[in-house]
Amino acid sequence: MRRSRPLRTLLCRLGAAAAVAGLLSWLPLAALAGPAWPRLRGEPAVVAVAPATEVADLAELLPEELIAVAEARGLGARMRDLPTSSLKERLFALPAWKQYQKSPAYVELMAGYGFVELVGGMKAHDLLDAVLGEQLVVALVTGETMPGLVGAVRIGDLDRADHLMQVARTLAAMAKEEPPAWRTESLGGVEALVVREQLYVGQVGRDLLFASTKGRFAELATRAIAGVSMPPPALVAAARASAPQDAIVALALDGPRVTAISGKESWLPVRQDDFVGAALLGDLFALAARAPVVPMSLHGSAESLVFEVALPAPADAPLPTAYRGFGHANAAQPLPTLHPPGMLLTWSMRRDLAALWADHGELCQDKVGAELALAKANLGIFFGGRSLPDEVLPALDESILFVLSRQTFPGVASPPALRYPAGAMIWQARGDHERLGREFANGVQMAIALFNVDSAQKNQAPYELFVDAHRGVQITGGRLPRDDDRAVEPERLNASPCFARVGARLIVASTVELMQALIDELSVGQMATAPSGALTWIEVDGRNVAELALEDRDALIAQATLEQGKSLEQANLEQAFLVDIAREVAKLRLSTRLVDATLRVELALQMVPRVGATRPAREGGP
Amino acid sequence: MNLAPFVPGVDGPFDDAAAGHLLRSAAFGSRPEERAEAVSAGLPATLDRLFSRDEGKAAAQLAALAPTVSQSDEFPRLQGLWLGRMVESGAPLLEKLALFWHNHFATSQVKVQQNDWMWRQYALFREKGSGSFRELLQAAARDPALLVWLDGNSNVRSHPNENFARELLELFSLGVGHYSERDVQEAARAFSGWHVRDGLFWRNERSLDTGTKRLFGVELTDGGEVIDVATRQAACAPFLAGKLLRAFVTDLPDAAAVAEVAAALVEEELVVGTTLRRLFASKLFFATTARRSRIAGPVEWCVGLLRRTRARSKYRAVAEAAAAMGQSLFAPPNVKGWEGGRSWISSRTLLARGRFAAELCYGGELGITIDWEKLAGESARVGGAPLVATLEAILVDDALDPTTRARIVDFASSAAAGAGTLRVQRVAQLLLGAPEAQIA
Repeated sequence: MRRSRPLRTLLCRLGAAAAVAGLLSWLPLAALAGPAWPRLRGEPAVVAVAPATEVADLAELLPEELIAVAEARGLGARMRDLPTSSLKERLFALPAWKQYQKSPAYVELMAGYGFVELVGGMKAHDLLDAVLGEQLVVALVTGETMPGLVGAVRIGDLDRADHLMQVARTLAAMAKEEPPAWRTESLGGVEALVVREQLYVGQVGRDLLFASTKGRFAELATRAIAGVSMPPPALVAAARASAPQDAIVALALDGPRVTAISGKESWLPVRQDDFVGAALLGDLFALAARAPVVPMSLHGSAESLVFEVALPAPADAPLPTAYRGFGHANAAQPLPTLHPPGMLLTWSMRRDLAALWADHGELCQDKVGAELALAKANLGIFFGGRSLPDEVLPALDESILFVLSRQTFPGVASPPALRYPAGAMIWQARGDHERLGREFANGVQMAIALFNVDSAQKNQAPYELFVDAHRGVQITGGRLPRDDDRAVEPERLNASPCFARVGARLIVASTVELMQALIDELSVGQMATAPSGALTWIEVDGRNVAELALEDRDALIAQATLEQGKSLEQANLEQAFLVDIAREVAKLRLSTRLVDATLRVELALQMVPRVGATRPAREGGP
Repeated sequence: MNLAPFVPGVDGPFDDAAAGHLLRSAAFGSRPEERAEAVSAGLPATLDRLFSRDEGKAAAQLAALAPTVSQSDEFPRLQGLWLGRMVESGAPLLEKLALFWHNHFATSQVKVQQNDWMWRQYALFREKGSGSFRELLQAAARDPALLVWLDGNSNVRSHPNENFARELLELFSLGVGHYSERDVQEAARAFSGWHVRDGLFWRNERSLDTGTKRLFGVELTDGGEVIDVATRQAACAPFLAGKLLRAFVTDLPDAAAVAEVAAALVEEELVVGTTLRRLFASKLFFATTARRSRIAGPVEWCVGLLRRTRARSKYRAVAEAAAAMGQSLFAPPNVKGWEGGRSWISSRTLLARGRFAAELCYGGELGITIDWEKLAGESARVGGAPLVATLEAILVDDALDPTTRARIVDFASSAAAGAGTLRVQRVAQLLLGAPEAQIA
């Protein structure tokens, strides 16, 4: 019999109450809950020190020897708005959240939530508001033997600051450990709470100060009490200079100091240990490794979130010639992108593969040379004996596209249980594209022939070679015969490898379906392009990812239960969350752009707009 | 009267020990509260529940993944799927019966190479395993996996292949010594043309031998008639009775017990479910000599421990662990299946059991997670005899030899055992290392 909704809610609340009741050892604390928070016996009596003058900017308290710093302003206010935010609205509207509310895990969460409020003596969002405060600065600083942590948070008012310190002291006093986990010590004029000799916490006016070492805490306390205004450290200034006005968090990292700590030539590997990694990240690593400061920021709105890294790339100090393959010289030219139906991911980038191959000695570690020599010997057979690095790659333009899309398996009565995405690579030919097209077509046929030899050895169905036409474009490839009763590996069920040439564009796709979609898009002749300066442009469509996760639901749950030891309930819930959350993501973008002598690396999350948005009905699912 | 019923209170109590014996035989063992529930419900109600086909939502949902898992080329995932269903099932006897028939027809994926065919065969055992043995055999003889396993497609009119016919008489219905070579040759002719095409049974008319065959003095034409005649032979019921007793009661059944069960099978017209129900409700079954006289097979042992401890685990990895102990699901070693009994225990397999016990207690690659403190309750804090008693009831149905128990209590009371969860885990590992823990 189905329980009525109010009854379920009541049961959940009773469960939460029972779970809270399990925390009986904290009852003495519960008795003290409330704004007053009187002291426990044995607890040190500490009176907050008032500063001579409150410093205008907490960053002024930080020492100059910073390795990394993060600053957040107004985080508390954002937390205060959480109960009425669209984020909460989105979360609570998810079908998976409603399912989660019926689970024991939810009861435990609510118990934990209640406990936090009980201990903090205020609602959870108020507590977060108080703790995160108006301004929060945290930094990693150099130390005698190892780096330390320093930071400060400015609370909205003195009463709240007092309250939070009181909570911290009471929690420390209640810990039953031998030797005691806490003590107090007067440092820099402030009575600091010392927790496990690893964390020093103290209060000056409405500012809470913390550090991981005695010396650094005393330094902070002295400056806070003196209230003498001085410029913030250079690293903080660099973080602020690079971050947008509305940044949630501004960060910066001091490259030379990180390098000094790492004890290596550079804090980032200059020569990569594989060619693909070098081709993808080589210029980023090189610029970051030589940048004196790496500023970062997190900013956004209710429907978007952007994390950005800004690497200086001054024209008067260009990268060494070994980095010519990364397309910086041509950054102003438009970078095309493709968006076929069912697109999961589109990846467009500017990379001169021939140059990267030639420069591998500079970009990669020594062992990569042997791997590339082997690849050269093996891959030559796909191009009629032509040399890949010396003859094939130089004939390709530096614009490269990679696309992943969902498959719909048109005309297939029983699609595979696990639907892999279809993938395609698109190059632009530099020279004689007709000849190059023929060679690529031969290469694909050669690859299919090799697949078939392997299939024959396993008594599996072979691919049948075909030459089709779509919109007048010739497609050469192989597909599995529908009437063959022999078994096929699941991944081959998902594939019909093929090649086509549209003008100077050479396309190798894993399925005919995707190939036809790409030909459709390319034939229109109006490809979308990434903004000026783009070197890499990657977009993920959350809604299509959600649909794929739904199609592969059984396979994902089987994986979770059989291979990862998760319960069916947990696996179902996780899968439902994956689908629901992905559906809320309109676009996830990762890009690198060369703008104003800066290489901007940007990870941006764009949510589906709420206003006027209609969410598709969920099919299947638990 | 064959299989005289056990009358609680007259022939002995239906108490915790009796309920434990029943649930070890007809299920995968029990937790103390399950035994208490069985005692409270009484024997008939407990049997009703054991013979229920309601496996519950979790097991059903797991089974629904079969089409997906079958398509995977990773065979161990299929093994894990069945093992997981055994762990999750609310109808464990269904799974135990399927395991029994899997060993009876002993078909291996290693030769069949088709995961979905193996799963279909298992589904057949679940569906028909408690019904008429004759009907099950008729269906099994048309099962694609079994036909491939026994070279059915090679059995053609001009060159009869005797593999299937021989195993039908020797391993599936009568046993050695109850048929002649002539019977095998005639049966092989009758099964010629019983082939597999497109994953389905196919009567290949071009290969059928439609002539008259003579078997056990009866004239017949078709393979189906061979099965009818063979299962009406006097040797069939005792052959099946011996196997049922070895699988569900004792490794060494005596002739009288076999005769009793065989007679019941005949009375029930070879319907296995009703015969088993009579067996589980009989004096023979609850006799002291019948209790704890069977070494638990690896799959039964692993599944039982996971159920008793309410553990979460990576089912695929556990299935592989059971294979290391000598029982690889869907892959019996040969046409005779697993020998069972003492063959389950060797220096190699005992080490593998020890490794599994360690994984169960401390976690590791099998992904087993157990809340040991919760499992042991208040005794986790106390240690000593209360802790041993709690874990003994959960893990081995209070079966420890007094000397063994005293030694484990000594350890559980000592400083060497440590405290908290670690002490519970250490004591549990000691218990699982005891010989009594391997006995069902």
